[in-house]
Amino acid sequence: MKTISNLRINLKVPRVYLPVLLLATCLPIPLFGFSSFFVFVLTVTFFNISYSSSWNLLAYSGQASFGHAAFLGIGGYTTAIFTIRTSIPWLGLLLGAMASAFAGILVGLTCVKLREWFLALVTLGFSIILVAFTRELDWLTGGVHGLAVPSLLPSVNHYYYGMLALTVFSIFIIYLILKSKTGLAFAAIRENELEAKATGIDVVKYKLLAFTISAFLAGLIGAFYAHFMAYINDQIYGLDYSFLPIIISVIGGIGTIEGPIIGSALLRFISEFLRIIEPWALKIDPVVILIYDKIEPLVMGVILVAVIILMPKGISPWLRKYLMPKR
Amino acid sequence: MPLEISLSTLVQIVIWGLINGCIYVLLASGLNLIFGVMKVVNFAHGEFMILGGYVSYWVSIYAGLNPYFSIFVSIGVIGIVGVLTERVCFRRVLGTSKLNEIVLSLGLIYVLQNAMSVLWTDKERQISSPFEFITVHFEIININMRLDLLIVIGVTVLIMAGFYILIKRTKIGRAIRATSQNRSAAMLMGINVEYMDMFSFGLGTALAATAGTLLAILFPALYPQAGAMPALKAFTIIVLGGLGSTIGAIVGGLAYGLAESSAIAILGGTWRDAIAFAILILVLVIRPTGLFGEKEA
Repeated sequence: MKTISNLRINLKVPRVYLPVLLLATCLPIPLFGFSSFFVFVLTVTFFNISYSSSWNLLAYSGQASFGHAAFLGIGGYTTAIFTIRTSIPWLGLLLGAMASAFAGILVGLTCVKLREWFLALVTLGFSIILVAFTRELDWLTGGVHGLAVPSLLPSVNHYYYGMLALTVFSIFIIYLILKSKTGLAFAAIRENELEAKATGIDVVKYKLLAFTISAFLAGLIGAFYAHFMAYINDQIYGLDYSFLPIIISVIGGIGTIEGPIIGSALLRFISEFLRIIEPWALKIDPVVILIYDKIEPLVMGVILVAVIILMPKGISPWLRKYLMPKR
Repeated sequence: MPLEISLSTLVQIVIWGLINGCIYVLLASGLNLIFGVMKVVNFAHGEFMILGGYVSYWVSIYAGLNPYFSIFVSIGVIGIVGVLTERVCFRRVLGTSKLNEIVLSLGLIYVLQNAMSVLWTDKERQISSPFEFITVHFEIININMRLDLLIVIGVTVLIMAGFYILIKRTKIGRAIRATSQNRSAAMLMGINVEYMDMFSFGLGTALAATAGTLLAILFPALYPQAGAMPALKAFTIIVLGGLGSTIGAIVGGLAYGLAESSAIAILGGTWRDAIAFAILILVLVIRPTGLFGEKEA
């Protein structure tokens, strides 16, 4: 166990002041009078960061879910249905997170004994089965038309701070877990399950714990996201939402705190860059408008493949290795 | 809902089940071959299928070739693409970690799907077959069938027979089987296992290309996103039929095609995708390594 003296603030170490600096930059942004679209985009970025972090925690325990959108959607639909039926605000968030955590236990129980590729398929399968249920139970979920989710907060600036708080909360929780004995157990299971079992780690318990915490966070984030978007439909269970945290975390660095932040920043940078050059691209050839939204995922795919081949652990560990050799 | 299934409905269900089954057999066999030799799950298999469909589509349009002959062009082109993909992408990450391999194939899905979208837009296309409007009437069961359906079944049987002979009767087939049984022992026997990786990946994607061409002849279903679901279902099939078993993939593919078409007829189209995964999850809960899975690698 780490003692308190090891945790004292040392300003020479970037991992202490970088998060504080980032947070200090993010806090006053809505006060500067940027356009509400810009604030909206940043809020979505925070959503990406927190959602990917919740996936990353699960991946840290060696279980790469390919259907994490299931938890996002369960959280979102729970709060949507609860808030519409009872018109009690805020409580839906907690209920959504708890419903999602419960689903996490169920999925986790199915997955504890599975190899990586089976686990990927089963988690993906859960989200696809949920799509079918959502479409069939249209008296509850609105079917393919989706639901209009009541708003919790008056403006996009408020949602910005809400999402920021949620992101900081998730990252802080994940940080605490990774620093604790539980985190050590997760890493041990990921590296070698048999050896972990031999050293007396209750593999099933810790795997389930990882699923539960990760699903809880994803459900909470999904619930808040549904209120933020003011609308939810079955696309939230889609492959796009399932693959988003994988792409972001793998590019940034699996099992690192800063990985999802780096990945989300890169994704946001690319998509903003593409939006800025869109008028020029359209001037050259107007036909481009038909396929313009496909360029961003194409670029992300190329980056993902390149990252896996060239720096298999992701950008963050690669940066650490080359920028900070003496540590 | 009341279930009144007449004889002709039943025959329709069986026929469409077999047709879909043919596509699944071709896909699952290719996936199975790649998994058997490299122990890699190529989730991007469906994208190779659609790419193969596009190759046949453009060949049949620009060269005016009969679509059933453009299959051979497609096999060649996609086979080469597959070999290059193995050489450039998969070999670099082979053996680093299972997660990297899975995520790499995920990355390939994004690259191939969106590249196809950028090149040819999301329009749904169909390869026009010269026999498009010819139907065959069967007196006994009183049913009309497109001639294409029969040809597709025939082509699948021929290709699968060729594939089976290649695997079971030729020298390279024996090397492939040896590599999939025991990689290091095969290496000791003088088999170049990396060459086998490349060859089987190319062969697997070539089979997928055949499936894509046949799919595009039958349905107006040639668009970049069409491959994702069939590939996942093909994986379900090889889990059910036994990872690495050639016959298992064939029987499993046909059985799954039949199961799916009857499920659609009984439950409705919404459940089409859910059923595959419900079966998969059920099987994996009971047997975590798959129905005929290996003990522990």
